[in-house]
Amino acid sequence: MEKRIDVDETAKSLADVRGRQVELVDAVLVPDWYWWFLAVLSLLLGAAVDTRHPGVVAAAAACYGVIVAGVTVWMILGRGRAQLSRQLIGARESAMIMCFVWLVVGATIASALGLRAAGVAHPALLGCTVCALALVAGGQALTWSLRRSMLSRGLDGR
Amino acid sequence: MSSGFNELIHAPTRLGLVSLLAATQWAEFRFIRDSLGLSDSALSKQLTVLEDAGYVQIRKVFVGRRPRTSARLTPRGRSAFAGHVRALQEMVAQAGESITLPQ
Repeated sequence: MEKRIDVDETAKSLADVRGRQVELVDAVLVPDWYWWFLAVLSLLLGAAVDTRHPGVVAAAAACYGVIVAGVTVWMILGRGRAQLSRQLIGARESAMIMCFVWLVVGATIASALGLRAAGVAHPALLGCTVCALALVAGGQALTWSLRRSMLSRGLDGR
Repeated sequence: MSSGFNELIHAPTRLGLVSLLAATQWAEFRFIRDSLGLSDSALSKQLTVLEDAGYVQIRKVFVGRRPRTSARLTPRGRSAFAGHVRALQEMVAQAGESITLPQ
């Protein structure tokens, strides 16, 4: 009987350890609104590029870069609260993020150039629509995959 | 008990604290406090115990005029936590139990 209680307590302790990991990963991973935010910004950038006014394009590109970089860095650094250990966000997770970024950028540029070559009106906006859709659908899938990958690590975070 | 079992870490509050820190490179005092639902003084006390054992490093920096305290597990603390988790897993495995972990 005494041993049974010990085992129950031990199992509960292990579940608590995992519970803390889950809480932390959920607190640190980017929320869904982040992807929607990037999608809207991308559409605005596309619309600005289609004006073909150099000043508007330059200002929009600069604002886009600053805002995206600022918000992303803020997100990555855990919104100033905590930073995930390198054991949790390792080479596999970094590769997933980089692949996603290159896929989205590549799909956006390819579609915009293809539409422009085909003489379609508003190629930048349409290209950025592809980008926005990829960000919303793919971004949430990426977050889910990262969460799953991180929580597949051992309880000791290794 | 297994040699990796660590009485200091096993106390429920400290186990939660170390579990949280093990998943981070560092965590802010406020974030830890809110995550664990502790008061400032209770968290300070637990951090001091772990710091005295060489398991935790406390860092205090000033952002403007406001102090910002954060904590991280030392390599010794990580090693002790890993050993403790292994010991707990062995105890459960030897008892033939399986546990369902939160997802």
